[in-house]
Amino acid sequence: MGLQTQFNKFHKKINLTRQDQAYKNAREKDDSILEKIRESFKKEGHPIISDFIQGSLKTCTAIKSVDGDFDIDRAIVIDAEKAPDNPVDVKLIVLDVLEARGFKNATIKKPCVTADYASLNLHIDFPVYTKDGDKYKLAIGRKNSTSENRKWDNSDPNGLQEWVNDDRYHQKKWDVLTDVEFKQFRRVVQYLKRWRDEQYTSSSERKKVYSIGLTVMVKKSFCPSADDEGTPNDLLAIKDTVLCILSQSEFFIDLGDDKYDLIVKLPKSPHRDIFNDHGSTVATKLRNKFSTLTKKIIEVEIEKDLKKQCEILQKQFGVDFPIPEIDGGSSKAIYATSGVSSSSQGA
Amino acid sequence: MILQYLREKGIECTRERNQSGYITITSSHTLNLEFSILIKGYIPHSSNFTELPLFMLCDRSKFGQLAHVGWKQGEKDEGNICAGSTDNLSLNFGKPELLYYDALIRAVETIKPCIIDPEENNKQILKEFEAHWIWQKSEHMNRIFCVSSFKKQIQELSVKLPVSQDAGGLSRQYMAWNNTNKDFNKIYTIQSSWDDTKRKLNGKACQISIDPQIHPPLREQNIAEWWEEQLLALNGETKRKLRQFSRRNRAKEFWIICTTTVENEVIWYAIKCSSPTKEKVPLCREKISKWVMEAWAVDVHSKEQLLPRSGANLDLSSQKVCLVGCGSVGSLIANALVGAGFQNLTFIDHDIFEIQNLYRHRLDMLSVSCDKVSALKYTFEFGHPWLRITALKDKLLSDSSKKEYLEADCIIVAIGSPTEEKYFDSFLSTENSNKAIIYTWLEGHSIGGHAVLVHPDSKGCLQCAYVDPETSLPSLNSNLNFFLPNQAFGKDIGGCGNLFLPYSQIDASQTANMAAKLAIEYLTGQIKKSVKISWKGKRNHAEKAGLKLSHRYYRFQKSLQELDLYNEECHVCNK
Repeated sequence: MGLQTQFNKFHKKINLTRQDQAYKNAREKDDSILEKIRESFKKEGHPIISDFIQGSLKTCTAIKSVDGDFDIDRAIVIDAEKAPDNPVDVKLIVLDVLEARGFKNATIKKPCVTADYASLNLHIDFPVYTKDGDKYKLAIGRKNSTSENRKWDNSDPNGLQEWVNDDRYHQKKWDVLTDVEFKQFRRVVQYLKRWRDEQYTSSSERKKVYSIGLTVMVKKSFCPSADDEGTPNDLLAIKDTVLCILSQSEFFIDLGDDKYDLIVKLPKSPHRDIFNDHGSTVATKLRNKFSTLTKKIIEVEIEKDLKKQCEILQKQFGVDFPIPEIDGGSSKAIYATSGVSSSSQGA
Repeated sequence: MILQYLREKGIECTRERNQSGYITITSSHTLNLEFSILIKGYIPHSSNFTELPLFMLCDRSKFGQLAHVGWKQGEKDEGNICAGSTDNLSLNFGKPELLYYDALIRAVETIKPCIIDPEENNKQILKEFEAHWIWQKSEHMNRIFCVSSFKKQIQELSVKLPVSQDAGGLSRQYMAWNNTNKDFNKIYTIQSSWDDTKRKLNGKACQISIDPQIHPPLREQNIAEWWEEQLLALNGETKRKLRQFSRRNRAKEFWIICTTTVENEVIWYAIKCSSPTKEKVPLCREKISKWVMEAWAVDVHSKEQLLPRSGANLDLSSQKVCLVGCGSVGSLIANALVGAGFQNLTFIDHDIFEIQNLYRHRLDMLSVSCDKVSALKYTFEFGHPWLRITALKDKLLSDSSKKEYLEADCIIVAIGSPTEEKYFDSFLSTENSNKAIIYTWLEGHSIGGHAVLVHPDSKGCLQCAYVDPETSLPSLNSNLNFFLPNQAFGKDIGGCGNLFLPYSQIDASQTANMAAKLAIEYLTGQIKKSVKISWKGKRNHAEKAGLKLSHRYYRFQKSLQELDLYNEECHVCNK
């Protein structure tokens, strides 16, 4: 049993999919609230033509949050021809439904309507889009925004997901990542998201290290690590990828006096800087934490004892990173996790 | 140009065109103070020099018996110098002058030691005894087909006449048969040729081992005289036995078949003896005068001669291999094992041979609808004298199959079914059989093939090939595979029930050779641990079929290399 086995266990603990049992209640709430929103939009003359899950669940990079919260990013799409001129009008419809359904802190934010469902630890975002052909526009504006700050703004929600889900290898001019390497890329994103959650104790600081920002940085800097037989080495992949992020002048801009700025642009429309206006504090702190992470990984590489290796990693990734117990000598039969699988074998 | 070049190199030479239109170059060479020779080189008719010039030693008759040089033919006193075969040389046909010069020097260097040193000449003559035997006759030498094996003791053989000179193959040859031949299988073709009722008995032969002091006869030397000299040189015990044989046997026709061992190679040659009246056979000097003797060449059929000469390994003849699965890959493994020299094989398969697999299977149309195992047994035993195949038309784990597994030195499983392979593996584990097992399979669409050897004395098992490299958990799909699992790999023609995995005989053959090689290397002690081996094909067929490939396919660069099978995460090896 090697270190990769511990990474596998860690990943199993933090990985979140929409099919997870832990997610069941959140999923049911999401489904029922969506149905209500659909009815209200129809009544108001803006029938919903489609909806989809956005964000990390769609790119298989979602993780279970440390405090047990669940996030849902549910996009709502209406026909551009049936959309009101004022984008805030449709957001108000969403707000009304959420408030009527017992959501707390329902708020219209600039890009979406957001609310919490306290008893389920559920945080939900509803961005609203219009669709004209294959062009999407996002409803921008708060409740009391002036007319200049309210608009239907060009957006490409599917493009961003497709970019993250593209199995090509950014570091090698879009050479194809193998299935093993691509799954490793997703895991590295998840590891770094959990690492962020553990390393930033202040929630206000943590919130500024956006998941999408980490995802874009990892995507652009990902350095896979697996042997020819397909056995991955996640430790090395994290180290190489973070070192690559740190060395890329595209992301961290040296401001002098050990201060840095961070620029990570959305790879798709509207191509804005994800960390815009957060100043050098976020950038410098993130850079320093990344440096610490790489140093700790090098310590792990030098250390030969598996238990001690895991202890170092647990301090970086939190308690979900398992420390192996001393082998008690008991063994149990291990079986394949699937029952039937079609095979390419013949003779 | 050649002439000029030779002269530049200091070789005296002249050029002429003979009556047959050949251009010849005669060059003179001083070998030492005593010997100078003239060599005549015949320039090939084709002007492109893709073959060696023919070099003849002039004044051939004055050199007597000479190694590497033939005797004169026809009027000219010239003997052909054996300076190498065109097939084994790479010729610079663009530079004929260089080619001619180098070939000439080779010819001179070949014969020089034999001319200046009689001892070396004798040594070389003995080495090429067979050639000198054939040169004894200026015309074509007849050949007898001799089914026997080398023995130091005198052997009595029977000889039969050819069926007809017009017949093809063996039927047109005299055949000598050692009556102690008992180890052929019953199907083997040679037995039926010997038993052919049209083949009439000619007489007896005596097979004698003669020690290497012997010297081949000179050109056109009287063979009876030569034979008398050889009898003189034999040791007393052999002489006594031959005399006894002679006293007991009278005939009008008799054969002497001789064997001589030179540098661990056994040389075979024969003398046909004829007499107008029935006489005691000429195995002692007194009886020779009544006989006319003629030198014959021998086509020998013996295990010691045939197997090594055709690339088989005699060491494998006692090893027992059990082959489970006689599909396309299995049948070609069988082919490779038989060719390698295995003589004790068991084939297990419950299936019949269907026409759909005609082009990728070792069997042919004649075997369609027959049991695969029986048809393969017949096919291989027919062509291989010492081969014994046990054919079991049976299920993988029937009682008789289990018995065969336990008796085998090595088991090869070529059934292409991961489920059955693992089931089989678990059976052998519970039996503690401690056998070497090779599992082999290919993947469709020409993407590749694999074989694993589970060595009984080292870590590594079939389950090592089924550990998911990402999760370290057991998997239903082998980690050697080049395709990702859960795709539609089969093709169907005609709907359900007609699904098949597309692959060619080349794919099957490549896979089969890998597996057979593992068996040979294990049984000859060349592999001392559990290993895996794969070959990787091109991906064009797979891409056309829209199939996704595994990480291993993209990153694998060790085709046909033996790699450690043992997987640290294997739950069986690390119980």
